[in-house]
Amino acid sequence: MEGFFQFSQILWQLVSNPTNLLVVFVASLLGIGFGALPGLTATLGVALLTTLTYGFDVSTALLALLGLYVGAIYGGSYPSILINIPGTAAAAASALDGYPMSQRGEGAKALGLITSASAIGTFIGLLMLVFIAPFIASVALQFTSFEFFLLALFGILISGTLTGEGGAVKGWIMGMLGLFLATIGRDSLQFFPRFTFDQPALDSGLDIVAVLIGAYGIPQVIKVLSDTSEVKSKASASFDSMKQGFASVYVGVLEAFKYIKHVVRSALIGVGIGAVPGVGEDIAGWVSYSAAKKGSKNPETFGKGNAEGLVSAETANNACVGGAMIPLLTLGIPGSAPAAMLLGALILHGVNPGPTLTTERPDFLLEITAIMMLATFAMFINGTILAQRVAKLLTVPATLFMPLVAVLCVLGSYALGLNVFNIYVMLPFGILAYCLIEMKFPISPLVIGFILGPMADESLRRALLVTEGSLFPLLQRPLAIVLLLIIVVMVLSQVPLINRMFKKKKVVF
Amino acid sequence: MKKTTSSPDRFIAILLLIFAISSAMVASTYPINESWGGVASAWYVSPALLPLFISFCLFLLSITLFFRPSNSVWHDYFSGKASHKIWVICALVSFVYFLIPNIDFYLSSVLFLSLLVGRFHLVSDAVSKPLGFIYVVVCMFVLIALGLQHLLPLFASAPAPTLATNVADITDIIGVLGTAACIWVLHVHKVKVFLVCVWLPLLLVIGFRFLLLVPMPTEGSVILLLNEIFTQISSLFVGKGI
Repeated sequence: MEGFFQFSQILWQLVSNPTNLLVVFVASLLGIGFGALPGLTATLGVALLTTLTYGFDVSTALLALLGLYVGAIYGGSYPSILINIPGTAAAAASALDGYPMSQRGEGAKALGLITSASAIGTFIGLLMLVFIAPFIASVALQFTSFEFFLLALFGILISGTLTGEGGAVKGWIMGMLGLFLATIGRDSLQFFPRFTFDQPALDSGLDIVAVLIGAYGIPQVIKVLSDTSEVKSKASASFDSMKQGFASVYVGVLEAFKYIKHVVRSALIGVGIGAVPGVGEDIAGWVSYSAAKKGSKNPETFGKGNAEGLVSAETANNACVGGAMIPLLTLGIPGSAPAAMLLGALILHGVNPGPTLTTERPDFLLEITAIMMLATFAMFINGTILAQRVAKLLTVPATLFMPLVAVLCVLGSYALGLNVFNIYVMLPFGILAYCLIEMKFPISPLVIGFILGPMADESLRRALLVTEGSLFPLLQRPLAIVLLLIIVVMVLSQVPLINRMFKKKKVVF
Repeated sequence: MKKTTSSPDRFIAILLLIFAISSAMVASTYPINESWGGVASAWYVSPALLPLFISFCLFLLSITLFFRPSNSVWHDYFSGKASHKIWVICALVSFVYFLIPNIDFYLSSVLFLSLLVGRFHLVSDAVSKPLGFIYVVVCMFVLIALGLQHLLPLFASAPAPTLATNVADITDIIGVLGTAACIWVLHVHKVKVFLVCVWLPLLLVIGFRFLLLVPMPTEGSVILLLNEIFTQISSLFVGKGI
C-alpha cells in the first residue's frame, strides 16, 4: 500500500508538470512516426533521441526515450496493416492478418484494434515489471563477481543462440566481437591501454552511442536506399481508399476488449520473451501469433484477416517493452535492442542499472513504471486521435527521408562527446555491421557483448583476484553453479554430436 | 545445395581466424606476470586475460564456422543493386572523411543530401547527373584547397589556412547554389526536395548549434554568418531587457 501511495505521488509529480506532458506526447508521436516509416526503427529512434535528451534531467529524458520506444513499437504496425510492409521488425507478424483486413476495407478498424491491444500489452508488461523486478533484484544482490561474469556470458550466449540464423555460431561470433570491441581502451583495473595502437583518441574506448548508431543506423540507410521499392505508390493508394473510414478506429479500439483472453495470453508471452537478453519484440510477435493460431478453433482463417492473430502479435510486441526492462533494471542486461540503447542513455545520465540500483535509487523502479504508464497513455491518445495523420506519413518516400537520417546519424554520434573521432569510428563500424547483417550475422549479440564487456572483464578479474586465481570457490556458490550449468547446457545443445545423441534417445524411448 | 570451398561463411571464417590469432598475439604482449605502473601483476588480473579468452573463443568459433558453413552462396547475401550500395557507401565516406572535416557543416550536408536525393529520389538522369557532377567538382576543389593548405607554407609567409579555407568555402557556396539551381530548374517537385536538401539541414544546424549549444564539426562561412545573426538578435533582446 505504501508503494502504491509512493507511485501515485511520483505519477502526480510527473503529470503536474506541463513540460513533462508535452515531452511525452511529442516523443510518443515522434516514435509512432519513426515506427510507421519503413526503414526507421525503434532502436534508431532511441539512439538519435539520446543525443537530444542529454541536457535534460533523468526523468524528462526517460519520458522522451520511453515515450518514443513505446510509440515506435506500436507505430511499426501502421505500414504492416496499410501496405503490407512492416515499419519495424517487431510488426512483421502483424502484417499477416492486418493487411488482409485492410484489403477488406477494415484498415481503420485494425488500427483501432492494435491501439487498444498495444496499450493493454504495455500495461501488463508494466505490471509484471513492478511485481517481478524487485524479486529478481533481491536475488541479484547476492551475486558476487563470479556470478556477474557468468551472467554477462550468459546474456551474450543466449542472445547469440536465439538470434543466430541456422545455428548459434554466427550469433556467438558476434557476441565475442562485441566483447572484443569493449576491451578497446584503457582497462579499468590497471589502466593499461589495450588495442589502442598509440592513438590517444582510443584511450577512453569506443563511444557507446557512436557504436550503436553505427550498428543500427548506417546499415539501415544503406539497405533502404539500395533496395528502394514501390512503397510510396502503395501507401498513397491505401491511404486514399480508407480516407473516409477513419471513424472506424474508435470501433476497433472498443472491439479489442472482445479478445481479452488473447490479449492477456499474448502479453504474458511478450513479457517472458522480452525478459530474455537480446531477444526483441519481433520474436515475441511471432511466438504469440503462433500460440494464438495453435489455440484457435479456426486456424485456417489466420493469415486471411483474423483479428485474433493481429491482436495477439501486437499485444506481445508491446508487452515485450516491459519485459525487456526487467533484466535491464535488475541485472544491467538489456532485454532487447532498443533497451540496449536505453541502457546507454541511462549510463550517460549517471544511472547504473543493476542489482545495486534499488539501494542507490530506491524510487527508480516506481519512477520508470510511472513514466511508462504515461508513455502508454500518450501512445493510446495519439494512436486514437491522430491515426489518419500518421497514416498520411506513409506517403513520404523513404528515398527522401533516409539521406536525412544519415545526416542525423553523423550529428548524433558527434554531438554527445563533441568528438569528430566518433564519426570516424561510427561510419566504418556501420559499413562493417551492414556487411555482417547481410551475411546473416545478427547484430544484437554484438551490441549486448559491447555493453556487457566492461562488466565481464571487471567481474572476471575481481573474482580471480579475490580467490588468487582459483576457480574452486565458484563451485561452492549455488547461484554460480546454476548459471554455469545453464551455460554448459546451452553450449552443448549446439554441438551436433550431442544433439544427435539426444534425438536418438528420444526415438528409443 | 552442395557446400563449396568458396562459401562466403568459409571466407569469413578465415578472416576471423586471422583476426583471432592476431588479437591473441597483440594481447600476449600485455603484462601478464610482470608489474605495470609499479603494481605487481598476476595472470588472473592481467589486462590480457579477457582479450585472450575472446581470441580463444573466436578461434574455436571460426573453425566451427569453417567446417560447418551454411549452404548459402555469395548471391544469396547482399540483396539490392550492388551499384546502389557502392553509391551510398562512397557518398557516406566522402561526406564523413572529406567534406565534414574541411568545410562548413551546413554546406557539406546540403551537398550530401542533394547527391543522395538526386540519385535515389529524383531518379531521372537529367537531375541526378548534374548534381553528381557538382558534388565531384566541389570535392576536387576541396582537394585543391587542402593541397594549397599544405603547399603554401613552404613559400614565404602566405596565410595558407585562411586562403585554403576560403577557397573551399567559396567553392562550396557556388556548389550549393548550383545544386539549388539544378533542382529548381530541372525538377517539378522542387518544394519537397528543397525542404529536405536545403531547409531541414538549416533547421538541424540552428537546433543543434543555437538551441542545444552543440558546436558543429566544422564551422565555416554559413554557420559563422548564422552565429553573427544570432548574436545580433540576442543583443537586441538583451538591450531591451527581455
